[in-house]
Amino acid sequence: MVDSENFAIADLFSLAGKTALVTGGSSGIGLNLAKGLLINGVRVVIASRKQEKCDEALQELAPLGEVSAFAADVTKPEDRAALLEFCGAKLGSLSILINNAGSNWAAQLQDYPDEGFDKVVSTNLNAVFSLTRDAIPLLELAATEEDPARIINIGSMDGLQVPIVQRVPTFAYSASKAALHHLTRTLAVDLGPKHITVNAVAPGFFASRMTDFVFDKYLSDIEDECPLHRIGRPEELVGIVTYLASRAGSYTNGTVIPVDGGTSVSKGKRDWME
Amino acid sequence: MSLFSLEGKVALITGSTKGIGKAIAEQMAKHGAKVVISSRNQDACDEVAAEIEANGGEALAVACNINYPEQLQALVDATLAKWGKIDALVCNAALNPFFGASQDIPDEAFDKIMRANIGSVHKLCQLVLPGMAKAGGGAVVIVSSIGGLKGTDKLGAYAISKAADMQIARNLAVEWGKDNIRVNCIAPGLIRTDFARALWENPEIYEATVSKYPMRRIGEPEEIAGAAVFLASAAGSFTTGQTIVIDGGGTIAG
Ligand SMILES: NC(=O)c1ccc[n+]([C@@H]2O[C@H](COP(=O)([O-])OP(=O)(O)OC[C@H]3O[C@@H](n4cnc5c(N)ncnc54)[C@H](OP(=O)(O)O)[C@@H]3O)[C@@H](O)[C@H]2O)c1
Ligand SMILES: NC(=O)c1ccc[n+]([C@@H]2O[C@H](COP(=O)([O-])OP(=O)(O)OC[C@H]3O[C@@H](n4cnc5c(N)ncnc54)[C@H](OP(=O)(O)O)[C@@H]3O)[C@@H](O)[C@H]2O)c1
Repeated sequence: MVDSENFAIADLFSLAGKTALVTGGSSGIGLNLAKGLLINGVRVVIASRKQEKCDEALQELAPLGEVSAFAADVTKPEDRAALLEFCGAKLGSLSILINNAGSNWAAQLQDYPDEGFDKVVSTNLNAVFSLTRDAIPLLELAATEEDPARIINIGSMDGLQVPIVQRVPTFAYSASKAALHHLTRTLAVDLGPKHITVNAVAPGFFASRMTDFVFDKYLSDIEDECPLHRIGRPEELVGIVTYLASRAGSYTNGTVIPVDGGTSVSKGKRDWME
Repeated sequence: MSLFSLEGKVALITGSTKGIGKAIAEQMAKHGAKVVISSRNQDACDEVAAEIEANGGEALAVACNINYPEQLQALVDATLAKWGKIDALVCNAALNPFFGASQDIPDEAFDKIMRANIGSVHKLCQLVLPGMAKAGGGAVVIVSSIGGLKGTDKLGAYAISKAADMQIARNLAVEWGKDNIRVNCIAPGLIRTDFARALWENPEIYEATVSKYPMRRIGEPEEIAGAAVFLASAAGSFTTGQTIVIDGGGTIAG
């Protein structure tokens, strides 16, 4: 049972002493999340496919706290097993798993290849399922009733509505993210009794390698569709992840939280009612 | 400054002498906000304000029944007279005077729920948001309920009012986004307060209830307060129009 007195003394948003794995932590959103976690006292492992990207990220992260990197392709079973073994050795247990690695493929419908569709779904959905399933023992080592272990899946606003930038269609991407949101809910119900919460964050537009090409052409359209009239700032994803991973978020389970400046709740410019 | 700091901000919280509202006021004060404590009972407001001040916070106690628009106006006026601005508006108080089938609810009870629960949120936003916009922005947090997400055979009118909260958040997020005002709901599941005492005080009823929840327990008021601080602070500054469900996964579990 959670004791109310507990909350009064501890900082509601403290992450100090926790451990985390951030997949895709070598660039963009994942790299920023790793920074946020380290600054707040979390011991972190990042993973991505390319050794040089891992090395570069590590240089940037090392001054902020206790961090290591492991080159692994989350779509490969042998890489996932080695990554989790590395996490066990480095961290002992996992209090936070952030499934952030993701990929995209954009092409017109007639030209959209099966291989592209498969690649996106296997990275954004299948690999999240497999890695999460195999990480349960490490998460259980950190999980208690007062302070559950946390799985945070990085979904997308595109999994909530048809993507805004329709001129470069991303069929597999938006479908994989919608599926990831629902996987989040089913895992949450399954893992709740083990004191592991599962939630998803659905970002709107944030600057990264993945979005550079879109911003070049469509930044003003994107801003027009957003009630706050801007793209997101890195610390705004650190904020939601800190909430979800701290005591403040310990009863939040199975949710999909859009962090999109209100874009997905706005009827926007694509107006059919008037 | 920390992402979750409310240093220098003024927060007005309705229904903040007990339960969820009190936890929100305490945590907001702990994170640096000056807080306005409010409920129908001035003595209770004074008591909670004194507690917060004793813990090093700053608080103003103003009684206000959300069922009366003129009292909402007086609440906002008193806050502005004291501190000159409102950075965070937390619409938390709500009432539920009827339990039973929609067929049987008296007109007066239905009207009262709509006026107090929906009307007070609408009116407070009308009173507060223009000033908030002029000051450069701010946040509204509406305490809705998971009752507004599913059909119910006993709490129909209350659930309508809680679903309306979610639509108010979407509308006002769109209307006020350009002024850097964010509007969100929190939808709690069963939380340990007087409001829901009947469901957690008796161990048998409690066990039967939580056996259906993935986390096998109900929530504590502080587990709602964290989301309110998040939404009012820089950490939540790209989150608007949303409803954050905090129920341990109870609703999606069916
Ligand atoms: N940026 C946005 O506006 C936005 C919006 C909504 C959602 N998202 C989501 O946020 C997440 C991060 O994206 P981002 O924008 O930060 O893109 P990014 O800069 O391209 O980062 C993607 C990261 O994932 C890694 N990665 C890709 N495939 C991998 C694999 N098979 N195994 C292991 N690591 C892999 C990449 O490193 P390697 O190349 O070394 O593998 C890189 O570190 C994604 O899930 C994306 O869908 C982004
Ligand atoms: N507890 C739950 O399980 C739960 C679940 C979902 C949603 N909620 C929502 O959470 C909010 C707070 O509920 P709670 O559980 O914290 O209830 P609570 O512990 O009973 O506290 C209610 C607070 O509101 C005040 N209040 C009651 N009627 C009022 C009125 N007409 N005008 C102004 N203030 C009034 C009360 O003080 P006075 O009586 O002195 O006025 C008290 O400060 C409500 O919106 C409720 O619908 C609660």
